[in-house]
Amino acid sequence: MNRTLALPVVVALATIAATLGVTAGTARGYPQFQMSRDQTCTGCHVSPAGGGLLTENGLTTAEAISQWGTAPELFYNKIPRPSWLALGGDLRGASGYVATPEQLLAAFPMQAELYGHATFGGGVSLYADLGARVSEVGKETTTFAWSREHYLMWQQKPGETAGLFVRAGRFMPVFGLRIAEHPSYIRKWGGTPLYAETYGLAVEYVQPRFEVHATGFIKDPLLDTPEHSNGGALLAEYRVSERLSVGAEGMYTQSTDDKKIRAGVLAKLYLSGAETLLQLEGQFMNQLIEPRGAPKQIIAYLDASRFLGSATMVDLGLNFFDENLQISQLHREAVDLNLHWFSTSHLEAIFTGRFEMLAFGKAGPSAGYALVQLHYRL
Amino acid sequence: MARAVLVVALAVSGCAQTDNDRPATIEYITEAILAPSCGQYTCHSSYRMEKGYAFDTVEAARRSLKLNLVVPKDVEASQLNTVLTRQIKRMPYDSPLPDKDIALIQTWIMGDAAKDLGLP
Repeated sequence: MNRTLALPVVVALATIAATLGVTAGTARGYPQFQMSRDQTCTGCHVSPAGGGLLTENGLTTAEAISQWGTAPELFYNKIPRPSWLALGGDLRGASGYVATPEQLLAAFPMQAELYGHATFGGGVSLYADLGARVSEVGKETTTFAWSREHYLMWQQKPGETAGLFVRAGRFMPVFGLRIAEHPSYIRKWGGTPLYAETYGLAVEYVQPRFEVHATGFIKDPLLDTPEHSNGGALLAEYRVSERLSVGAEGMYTQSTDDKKIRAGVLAKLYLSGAETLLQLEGQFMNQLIEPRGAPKQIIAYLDASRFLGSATMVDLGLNFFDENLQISQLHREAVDLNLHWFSTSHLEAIFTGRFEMLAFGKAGPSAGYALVQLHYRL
Repeated sequence: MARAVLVVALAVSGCAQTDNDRPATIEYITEAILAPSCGQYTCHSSYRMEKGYAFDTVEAARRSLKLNLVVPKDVEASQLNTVLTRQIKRMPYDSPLPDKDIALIQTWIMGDAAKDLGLP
């Protein structure tokens, strides 16, 4: 490849990687496992909101659903560690075809993070991660790493999955379905975009029958993150039966430029006959822009997940976003297809594809991508 | 069920809709269009400053747009319009803007851009 051609290609691929927000993605568990395997996120994760480090039960689940098993612990349990310390990590990368609408082949790293959870007496623990991130232009050597999440947690019933949890520190406000796929509209435009962790205090009560999460937060005073607002979020979920849960959510944020009020509903229904989990979230958002302007938005997501055999899971997600209900043809739609193959307890391969339209093709060019993602959990 | 959700959403969005009469101001364009679509952390955020531009706050957008992206009263000469409408290296890279958002930005360039950016 000659230099004249190489430079634009490199720049284009770097921009694609940056735009997709994938040079240091976030690791989250799959809400799809809820209902079909465990009733609450705490069934598999240290965090009461889910995501990140797995519990012993989470490790067992990772082994049980994988094609070839293997010891699910960190480095196959070859490294001794004290009982009060849990360690883990995630590595991800992806490659594939992107059309937005320019058509390119791209390959990029997504995530390199280590997690630690130290448990002290009295139900007190410290959770922290350390990983690579998108560096600041011109300061690459000093801004390539960060701790996306770090918080102190008090748990009413240490070692159990239910009870009262209080967290203080840096983490994502607890809101919505909390799915792993950050390009989904309910995350991108739904109040929890990639890297929108804030400093906050969360009071969370989790029971098999219901759970409530209340978070107050302020924007990061040290780093310029996507969340420039202070605010609060409330999420409540009630499990009507072992197969059905319904929830409600609200979030208020205020920055120097605008205020946002979000209200929404969510539901999960496990169809045991079809072995399919349906997940739904719908949000209404009213944005107040100074000095004038008040767009009202709808963000919606419907996902169907099904295990195909013992180690394969397929997701079909429908995204809808209307950025201003008062103006026609400002809505967009996306269909997401994800196929997960859990080969070992640690290694997962994911085909992820998207087709996106603007007002069903009437308001601009369509876009899409087809990527293969590899995920290695340490 | 998916169709039902989309039908309900579209029905709600179709109620009492008007022409593209949104405020063509830098505040509105930044907070409703540029910040959520272009000002993501990995791209044109105040932290990342990809290509030297940031659109995640009104002040950051004002500083960036007045650099060399907007020629007041001249849509065709404005680089901002070019990158939003061209086929190659079109922005935003991950999902293009709807035509009406681009039209609103063009209206702003022809209208209050000079005043908002303090340009002649």
